[in-house]
Order: sequence, then structure tokens, then C-alpha cells
Amino acid sequence: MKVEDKILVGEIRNRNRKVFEALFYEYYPHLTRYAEGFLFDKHACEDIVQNLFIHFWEKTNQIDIQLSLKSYFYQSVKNRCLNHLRDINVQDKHKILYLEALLNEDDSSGWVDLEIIKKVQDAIAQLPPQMGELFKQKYMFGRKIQDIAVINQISENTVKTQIRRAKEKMRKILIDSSSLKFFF
Amino acid sequence: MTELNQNIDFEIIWKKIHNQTSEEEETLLKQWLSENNAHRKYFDSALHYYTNGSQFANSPAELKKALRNIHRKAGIFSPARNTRIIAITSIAASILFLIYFQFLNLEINPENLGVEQQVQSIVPGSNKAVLILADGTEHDLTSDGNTFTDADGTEIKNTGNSLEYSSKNALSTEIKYNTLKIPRGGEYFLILSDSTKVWLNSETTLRFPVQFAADVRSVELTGEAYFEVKKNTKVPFIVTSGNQNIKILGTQFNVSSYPENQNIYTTLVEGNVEVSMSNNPQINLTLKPNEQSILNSSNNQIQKRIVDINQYVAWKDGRFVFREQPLEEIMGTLSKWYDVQVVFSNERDKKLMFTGNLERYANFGDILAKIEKTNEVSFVIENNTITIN
Repeated sequence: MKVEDKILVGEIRNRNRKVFEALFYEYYPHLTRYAEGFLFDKHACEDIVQNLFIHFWEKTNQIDIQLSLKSYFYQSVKNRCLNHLRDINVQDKHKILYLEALLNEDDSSGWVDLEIIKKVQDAIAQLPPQMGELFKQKYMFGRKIQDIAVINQISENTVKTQIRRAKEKMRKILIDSSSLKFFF
Repeated sequence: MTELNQNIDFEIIWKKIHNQTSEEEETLLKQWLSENNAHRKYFDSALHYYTNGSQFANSPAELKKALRNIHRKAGIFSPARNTRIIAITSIAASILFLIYFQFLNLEINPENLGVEQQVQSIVPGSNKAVLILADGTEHDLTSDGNTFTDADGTEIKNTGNSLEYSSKNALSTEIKYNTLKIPRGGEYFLILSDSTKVWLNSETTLRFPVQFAADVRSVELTGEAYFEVKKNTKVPFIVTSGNQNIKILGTQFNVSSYPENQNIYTTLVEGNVEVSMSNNPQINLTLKPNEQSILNSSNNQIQKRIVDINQYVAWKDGRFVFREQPLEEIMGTLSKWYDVQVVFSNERDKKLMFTGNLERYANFGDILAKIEKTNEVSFVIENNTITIN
């Protein structure tokens, strides 16, 4: 675990509320949208992420963080969402939901899974070149819409439209039976 | 007891929403939907999401409400009125600062300086470099400043601690390479013809064109260097080290590719870079600031992680920053800079972890004394060899 994360977890163990709140503001908005890509239901997502934070506060001593706090939060939300899906008899064989969660999360913070990145890169290659490039700048490089507009000398609205279309196309490509093979 | 519900694959739900279901899938979906209300509700939510997008605006009011909810359920009393949002990084940074402050403030007790007398002849590194021009002639840059002119008229200005290329001619068709070699105990600063700045660490070699080609700016590195690449979105800058290519459009980053380590570390400070394997460009990944890629040349894999960049780039600003690093790595770094040999008398000591923030231009004795102060190890120095007990 990173030194910073160790310190932060140590502060949570010492019941430091300010650190807890800082972590909440840092992660909560991303985690709820990440959950939404799995569950689509606002209240269910809020419940899952809020319960995770409560668990994190109450059971700090039992939590085993292997990599980083960030991967702990994302992995925990994903697990809780998959449990919820299991309860309502939904499977995600082709990882469509996982991809949706990553796309919806909007900050690309969750994009730490190299396997999914590889798959998305393959799909990007099938987009029209400019669209693929903009999508990459947003989701692979984590650039802001504003910056992308400046770099490519196009308006912010054009960037937004292109990226929205790119997302639509990405979903279609990934669902298309020929490319579904990537997901097995 | 009712019969067990059937599982449905989300693919079918997705296809239904996008009007792509087959008859068989329709039947499966209908069956699943009729099984229970929760199924129906999930389908409706998915349909709503794909039609209208996310329901999360995450407004400050919403976030406050969520936080209150958590406080209430976790039994955390409502926070002080003036609580402000503090970036977690700054909290971590200030706590770290305290730790280092204590480390730096270790008083050096003269009686403890067993090694002091013996290390007076060991001096820190300094500006040392050898420049090899395209025609093979070697120039020792350590001495005073002077100016060379390469065959194509490119002016090379040496100030004794830096080297600057400025091309007056239009792009030449033939690309000529120069090589800058930094020995152990040396460092140098270089400005390339495109105004890219490069800080070169000890035991490092950089091969670069006197003038860059029109379509790509490409250099080869062995050892460690920090790059501040001049932004030019049309002409990518590529750093090749071993089996790794880094592609950059304009950014700041550090590369450590010493041949004795089987890993190549690329640490991004600003902008973004794409790291790939030269023998397999399919394997690549993109770094964002504070991320570091590790290319392992023995198993041909690249991974990335988030790091504290200070630890990896502090050398350029005249400091050594070690965070929970094994003594073996720390001594490896020090030995390049102070140009000494290091011998461990037992394996256990190699794995001892140390944290510290040290002056790069400090007397070697001070640095060893600080490490000895922990009472974990002691040093014996003979000529240029340090033995660790």
C-alpha cells in the first residue's frame, strides 16, 4: 500500500473525521456513478456506496487494503453491485455492465484494469479516427472536455457530441456479436 | 416455495432496449420479467438510463445529504460547523512532511560519527560528461565552457554544467547523432535543438539527433533522465530505452532504465505519455500524472501504479527522497552518485527499509551517519568500498 494511503487509513483508525470527510468528497461522486453503470437505480447505488463508507468507518481495523485505497473502494463497489445483480438473477457474461460502469464514471479513475483497457482499445480502433481520438483523450488520457477542445481546435460542444456518439458506437461495437469474443 | 428463478444475461436486456432481440431471447426475457417485481424494476431502470442518461448530478446539496446520512448511520456526530473540504492529498502531504521533518532534524552527534574521518575523500557527484559528436570525436565537458559547431552548422554551447543545441539552419535531410555520456558521480543538463530540457543522472547515456527529423523527435536512453518535452502536437517525441518506447506530445516525466535493474520505471509528472514495448507495440498503456509504469524485461509485462512522484524526481532538484525503500536500493542509488562500491556482509541488511529526505550534495559521511543513527546497521569504509554490517 502507498505511504499516503497507510497514513490515511491510520487516521481513520484514529477516528479522524476530517480525513473521513475528505475521502468521502474525493470518492463518493465517482463511486455512485460507477455503481449506476451496474444497477441503473439511483437509490440502490446510494445505498451501496453509503453502506461501504459506513463499513469503512466502522470496520477499519478489519479491512485489508492490498493495493491502494482507490482500488479498494472501486473493487468493493463492484463486488457489492455484482452481489445485488446476483440476487435479482442478472449475469454479466460479456462485461457489458462493467464497461458501462467505467464509461459512466466519467473520470476514468476506475480504469486501472489493464484487461478492460486492452479491450476498449481494440474497440476504439473500430471507431472513425477523429471520434476514436477524442474518446481516447477523454477516457484513456483523462483530459477535460475543455482541454480537448483547445488541443484539437474544435468547440466544446463538438467534443461533447463526438464523445457521446463515440460512447454509443462503442457500446454497439462491444455488443456486436463479432467483437463479443473479446469478452470471453 | 416457488421454483428457483432463472438467470438472465444482461446482453439480452441490452438487446431488448436497442431492439435487437431474437425470438428466442424475447421468450427468455418475458419469462424472466414475469418472475418477480425486482426483475421488472431493474429492466425499467436500465431502459430509463439508456434513454435519459445518468441520474446523478452530485450537487453540493446532494453530497451533503449523503454525508449526513452516513454520519447518522455510522454514529458519527455531526461535524464542526466550519468543516471545510480538505484535499486528501494535502492531508497526507502534511503528515508526511512532519515525519520527514523529524527525520531531517536528527541531531548528528559527533561521537557517533565513526565513519566521518574515513570518508573525507569521498565527494558527491558533480557536473561531468563526455560528448561524442557524429564524427566520433570525444569532448570532455567537465572543464570550462566552450562552444562547438557540429558539421551541419548546429551550434553547441557548453557552460560546464549544461549543453545547449541551437540550430540555425532549416531542417537538414540527413540526421546526425550525438551521444552524451554521464559517468558515475556525474550529472548534466541538456537543452536539445527543439528546446526540450533533459536532466541526466549518473551513469547515463543519451543518444539524440543534432537536429530532429520533421516527423518525429526520437532519442535513446540508458540510465536515468528527467524530460521536460517542448510541446509540439504534430511531431511526437519518443524515448527508447531497452525494449520500451515512450511516446510524448509535450510533458514532464522521469525514466529510470539502468541495465542492472530488470525493470524500467517511467514516472509521469505532467501531461500524458504512452508507454509501449518496442518489440510488441500492441502491449501499451497510457500514464496520467502521478502514475508510474514498470516494464519488466524478464517477463515482458508492463504494469502501472500510482506513486508519490517526489521520490522519483527529487534527484533533479538536488535531493534524495527514499520512502520505505530497502537499503540495497538506497545504497545502489548512493553508490552511483558518490562513485563508491557497496558490499553487504549479510543478506538480511539488504531488506531493511528506510525513509528519508537527504541533500544530494551533502558530505557522504553525513548521509551514512544518518543511516547509522537508526542503530540498524554500521558502515566500514576502506578506500572506495563501503561494507555494511
